[in-house]
Amino acid sequence: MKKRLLALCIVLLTAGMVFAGGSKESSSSEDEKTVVTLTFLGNQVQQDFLDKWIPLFEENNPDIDVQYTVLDWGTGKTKILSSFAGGVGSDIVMVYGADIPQWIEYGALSPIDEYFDPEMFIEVPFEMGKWNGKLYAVPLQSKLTGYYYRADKYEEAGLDPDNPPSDWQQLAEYSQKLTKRDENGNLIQSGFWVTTSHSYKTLTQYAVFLWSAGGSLFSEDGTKCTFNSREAVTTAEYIRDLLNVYKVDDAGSIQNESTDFAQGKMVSGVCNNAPRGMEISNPEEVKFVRVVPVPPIDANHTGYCEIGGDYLGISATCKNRDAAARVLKYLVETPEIVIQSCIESFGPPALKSAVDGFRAQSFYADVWNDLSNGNVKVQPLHPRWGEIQAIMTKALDVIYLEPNADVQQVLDDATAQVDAIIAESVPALGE
Amino acid sequence: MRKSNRLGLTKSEAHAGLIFVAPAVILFIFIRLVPTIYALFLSFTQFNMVKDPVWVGLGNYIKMTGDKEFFISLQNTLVYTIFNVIISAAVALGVAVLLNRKIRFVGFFRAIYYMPQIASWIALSMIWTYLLNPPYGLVNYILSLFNISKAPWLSSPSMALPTLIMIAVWRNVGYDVVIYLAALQGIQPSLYEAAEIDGASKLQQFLNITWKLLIPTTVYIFIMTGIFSLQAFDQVFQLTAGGPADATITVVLQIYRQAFQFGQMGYACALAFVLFVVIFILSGMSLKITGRLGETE
Amino acid sequence: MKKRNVIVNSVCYVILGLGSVIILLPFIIMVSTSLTPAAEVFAWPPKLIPSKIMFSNYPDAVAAIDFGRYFINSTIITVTATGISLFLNSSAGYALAKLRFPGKRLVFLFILGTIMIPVQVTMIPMFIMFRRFPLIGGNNLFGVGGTGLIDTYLALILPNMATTMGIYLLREFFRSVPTELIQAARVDGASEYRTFLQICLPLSGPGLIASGIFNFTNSWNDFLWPLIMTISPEMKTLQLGLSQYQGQYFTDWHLMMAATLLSCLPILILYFIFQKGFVEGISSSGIKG
Repeated sequence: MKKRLLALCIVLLTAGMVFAGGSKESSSSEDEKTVVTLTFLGNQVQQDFLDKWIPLFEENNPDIDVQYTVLDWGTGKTKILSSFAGGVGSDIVMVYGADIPQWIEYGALSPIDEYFDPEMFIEVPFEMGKWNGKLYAVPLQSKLTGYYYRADKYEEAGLDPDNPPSDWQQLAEYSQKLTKRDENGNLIQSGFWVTTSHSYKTLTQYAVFLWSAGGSLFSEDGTKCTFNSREAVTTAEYIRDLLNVYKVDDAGSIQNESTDFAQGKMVSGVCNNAPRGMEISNPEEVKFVRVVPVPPIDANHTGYCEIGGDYLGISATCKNRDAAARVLKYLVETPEIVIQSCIESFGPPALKSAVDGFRAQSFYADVWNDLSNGNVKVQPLHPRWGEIQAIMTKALDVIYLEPNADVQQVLDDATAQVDAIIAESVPALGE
Repeated sequence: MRKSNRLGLTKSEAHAGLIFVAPAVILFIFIRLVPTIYALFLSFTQFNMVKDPVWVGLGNYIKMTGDKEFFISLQNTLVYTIFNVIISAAVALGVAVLLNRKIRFVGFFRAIYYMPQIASWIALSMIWTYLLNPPYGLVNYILSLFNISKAPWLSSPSMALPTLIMIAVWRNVGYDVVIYLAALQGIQPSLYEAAEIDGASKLQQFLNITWKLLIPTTVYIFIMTGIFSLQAFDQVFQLTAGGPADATITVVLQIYRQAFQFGQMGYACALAFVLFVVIFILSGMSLKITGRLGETE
Repeated sequence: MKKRNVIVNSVCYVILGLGSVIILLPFIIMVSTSLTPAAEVFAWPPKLIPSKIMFSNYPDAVAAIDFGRYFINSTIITVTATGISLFLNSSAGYALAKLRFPGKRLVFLFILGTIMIPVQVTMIPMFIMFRRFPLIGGNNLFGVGGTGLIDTYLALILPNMATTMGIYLLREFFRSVPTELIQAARVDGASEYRTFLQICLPLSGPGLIASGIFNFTNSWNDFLWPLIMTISPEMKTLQLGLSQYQGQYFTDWHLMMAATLLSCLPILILYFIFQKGFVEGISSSGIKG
């Protein structure tokens, strides 16, 4: 008897759950407000950001109700895909620059040319939001990947911080001088961070070096992968040697580059966020941080930075595009908002009207703006970038971590695989 | 007296039987059988979950035969499973034999060894990542006390899979110990006494009595842990995400990647179906060899 | 003779003790790190006992994410699923053990066979099927228009409402119940249902406990299915919430360890309360099988 009652209770509980739990029917249908849903990627910082700015928007736009969520970077991308597959994709979605074509396929982005004026934005970041000639996403902020280093550590090692390496040979030598190990050979201070086994940072680091050697991942027209060119091989060998010959780092030793950079466990690297931890934990040392383009391979080439960033767009399933556009324009065209995002996400603004304000608030503003106007390139865009990135990252891992691997062979294999993917779908637009 | 048929089976007993199993069976049909058939259908399509599926016939399966990553993942999965199953069982058997020696605190030890089974793989993976951190983790610290140089553990292509196996063994031993111990406790001491009188050494006693009697238990453990190991996802996802350099990519991880990171649902379903067939064949083989789990009533 | 025994037993204790330390080390570290100040998390050499015991890490961990909500979600889902599964598993297990009915062998093989189907085979079709579930989540009779079962508790409860392991365990357990007991009840005129509920079920304590704890553990620790089926952040389960401590730039290890410990607590408590019955329940499955 008791068990039967228990079972009955549980059944009732379940029934209650079905109707009560998890249903997100919005009750605002009587209010005649247009609902715009917004999804950001990030953590508590982004949550606070939206908590601050969205209510202001709603005050000034009483006919719109913005419902926003922040998903964490780890599982967020999967969630966004499932949500569009499940038909519950939000109206405005955040996307990292290089993922734009893939998300167009998912219906997470749609053309928004009619809402934005290119003149308001800096050209290179703005162009990244375009695909096949149409604008799909606008930048909230940019992120710059360059060669970051600590001037104080340079001086400690007897190097001149005003003269960073001018070519790869010097980079290797300087990094060696900056590396410290204890008597057992264990790494105390890494002279240069070599990224291995990371879902996107490995390839980003490699790509910037490749550009600085005069090579590129794809051909000009984007129909052929050039991951096995002479320059590509040289670049891969160079980074491999940094790790295995010059021993400026041990694979996997730097788990969080920004905290490690702040604590001096890592002195330099090609990344886009190294000093971020320092701003939080020891801001008095921020003045020691320098950033320049990645050194070119030799005097006959140019060094580059990579520019990316977080972009926002309107999904194909959005039913109230004008309302969504108003929210979107508010977020990316209001200088104060853009500036805060830039400071929190650690990157320069893409909005022209935010540049001066940003300069006043960020230590790196001048440096970044100079760099943004100089030699910058963007990652290649392709709808199947996820797979291509995985293939290339794996090839690089093999080369970096297995010093006896045949570099040309590994790159040839990877290139063949990427070519097969490109052949199946729309060609890449190149850089 | 109720009417019964030739077999002594009453109508109400048959009815009750069917009704008793009905909810579970219906549930399983709904959440296991139907999706599997649907997955088979999807495996013949190209599908990114948003647009409609596009029929490609055997395209996905043909692609699989040329997919090097798939074969690497299959190899990794099998290596992981075989070593995990065998080492866990061997270690567990040793521990169980020790525990069976009429020592005190048996329950206490058994509880301790079982503890890893309680925590989730996500929780355990976080802890192990922290422990195995190459420059600062505790494990490398302990090694350094013995003057052994720091090991890269999960960051090295050659060490990553063995490390995963080691962690899996650490977790599985407890479960195997509980089962082996119970089995050992079920063996009549008189068997050993008789053998002792016959002059058999401890080793001979172990081989001829203990081991022989434990074979059914061992098979059960092999099959159960084997099936679960072939499907291991959470820990691989959290610890290495398949890296470095695909050293730890397993079939289920590949399925997840294809489905949710590359948008290739159809191909993912094809991979999943092949995995199912592999598990089915391996289980079937094991069962045939031992003839267990057959209906004996 | 006795002396030899003492020595051998001592060696046993040492080996077992060493093994226990290895098994427990990660848990000890979890506790230690959960009480460490943030700056010391990667101190070298590592400190087992932190210089400052930071009990504040626990409230901080709970505050850092929507911990309470995730905990409640996990609890509702797991308790409901386990409760229902106790009933479904035991009735199915009983029928397979003691009742005779047409198609019994087929049913048994079918139930056992489903354990071979990896989650990955069924997860995508189930996602699609759940989305199209009629009359729930805004869907009409044909399952169009809304989101169906996606992002609901029911979607997370369903897969755990009956489990192969549970049915198998309980079948084994019921096989040990003497058939005479059941015959006697039948002779007395009791219906099959009464026989089951009033006579056999009360005897199945350890089996229910073992099955219950297994199911509870599986549901509580489940990661992949909730990852796919939940969309809105407030529907996340505790396991999904744990990954939130891993930021894009750095991980709050001290908070994460505190949260991890809290997430293990319910099962740990259940386990220690029901330990005896649990072990009894599992043991009976391995031997006879």
